[in-house]
Amino acid sequence: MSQAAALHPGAFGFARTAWLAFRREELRARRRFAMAWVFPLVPPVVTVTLFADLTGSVARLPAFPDPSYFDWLAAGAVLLPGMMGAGFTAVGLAEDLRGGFADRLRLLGASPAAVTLGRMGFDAARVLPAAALVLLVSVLQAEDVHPSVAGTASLLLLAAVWAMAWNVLFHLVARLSASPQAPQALLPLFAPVTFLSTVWLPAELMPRWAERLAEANPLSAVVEAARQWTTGDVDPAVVAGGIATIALWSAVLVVALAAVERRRR
Amino acid sequence: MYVAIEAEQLAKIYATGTEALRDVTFHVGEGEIFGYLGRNGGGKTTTVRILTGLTGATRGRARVAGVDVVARPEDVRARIGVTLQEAALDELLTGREFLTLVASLWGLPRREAKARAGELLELFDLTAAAGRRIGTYSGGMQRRLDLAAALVRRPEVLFLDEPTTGLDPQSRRALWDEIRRLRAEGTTVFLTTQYLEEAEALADRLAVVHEGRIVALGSPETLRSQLGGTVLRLRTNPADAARAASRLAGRAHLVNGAGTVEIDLEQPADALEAAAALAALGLRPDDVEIHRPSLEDVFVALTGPGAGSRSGTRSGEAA
Repeated sequence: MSQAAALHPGAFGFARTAWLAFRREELRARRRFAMAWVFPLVPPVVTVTLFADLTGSVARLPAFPDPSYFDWLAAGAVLLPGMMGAGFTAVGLAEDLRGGFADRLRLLGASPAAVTLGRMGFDAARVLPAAALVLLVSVLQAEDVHPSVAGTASLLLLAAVWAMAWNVLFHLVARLSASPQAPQALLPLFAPVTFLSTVWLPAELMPRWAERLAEANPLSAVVEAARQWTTGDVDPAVVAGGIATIALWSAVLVVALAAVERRRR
Repeated sequence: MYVAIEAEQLAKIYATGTEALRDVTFHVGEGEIFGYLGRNGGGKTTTVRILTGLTGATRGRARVAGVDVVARPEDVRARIGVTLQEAALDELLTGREFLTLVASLWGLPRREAKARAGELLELFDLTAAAGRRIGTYSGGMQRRLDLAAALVRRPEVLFLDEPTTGLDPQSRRALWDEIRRLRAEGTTVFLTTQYLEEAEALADRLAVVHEGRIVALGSPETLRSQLGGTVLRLRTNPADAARAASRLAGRAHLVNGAGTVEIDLEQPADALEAAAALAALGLRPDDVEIHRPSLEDVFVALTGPGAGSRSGTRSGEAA
């Protein structure tokens, strides 16, 4: 057992390494303030104000289920900061791989899983202010969005967990490419993934082909889980479905990430 | 003498089929500075990566600080410090934040990590820059910080992979002083370099690795002696050169068949005797020099005169 491991064995050593990786990302974020904090905030806020106002008349369609478009959009909007501002720590990972810091971490005996957890934990934490602001804006504009305190906490937790799950994809790309540009190039992926989900519109209002894709899209299950708390009418089965979807999504990508990490050695 | 590094018939074949190392064997004694020379793509970095546990060997055995690298890589890492070819830093952090992070990751409690970072900043003359982002440091400062990070845990064996590449002469010499100081404190140093002057200045013993094989091993003096001894070299007109070679037959020979003659010297005093003999012939040389084979002569003789690196080195096939 290494001296480091002897000093901080087992779960404590793992947690300490994850915390140090989180803390490092927090320090890095201070020097890349706009990318770390402004990027996840501005596009979602613009979406729930300007975009929702411009396209709000869709709510007048007969099949539209909510009293206003703001009511429909609130659930998906909370998840947007994690997608529109993704890739911050993945860029750092690629820089580490390219610059040799990833090797230094290995030489220090730092658990790759703990370092990844710490990084993604920061990705989750940094979307919370944006998610909270987006939720606040949504509550102010919508007619029937009044989540309870527990519902608000659940929504923010879901937003953070989804941000982590979404960022695993960015880490996978960073790990494969070792290029800081690669995860940044992946950012626009949020557009097709959200358009072909129930973030913007109910599936029933989409063309047939898009409706099928939206129903199969994992993001739709997560949005529907979030919608349970924005409407205040919580169906545990729908919430469980959303959580299970995130878990499955994460598990598949984490296994792929671990395989790439092993191959690199 | 305690053997700090043992490499026995190390071989490395990458997945692409590139044979980076072939039966590399050497031992490094405790407290030695061992120079590891080679051209780009010769196998230097692959050797370092195997000995530090970053890459597995395809065949062979390696022990560092008495510990098997393959069986117990974590224990090896606990005993070594490493600087890789690129200074492995985080340019967004300050020097102090960086060293504190490294010390913390190593397992020191926060207060001790801060104290150790402060000591190292002081030792490497970086205290004044400790609060600045590493991205603003000069190349020499970044190298010093990289070395400081490798010393956080006071290693028994230090691996330095081309530590002075890209540094100006002053920064290079400052780093040499640090390496000598570490050796004086008992640290074993494994130094890869392309700079012959650096190897000559620092290394107690050298290995020259070429196309994955060790082609020479010994002290700088031993390697130089393989190329012959010191000579007195005269440049003059071809006729006088021929007369000189004839007068000192058995000790002198013409070089390139032209106006240069070399006289073998067994000891420095022989130069005076040879000069007197040549003066008696009435020679008027254009140039006179005493030439001692340099390590560069040895290196070129062993690895070939061609310039540039071996082509085809790919990412993941560290040179």
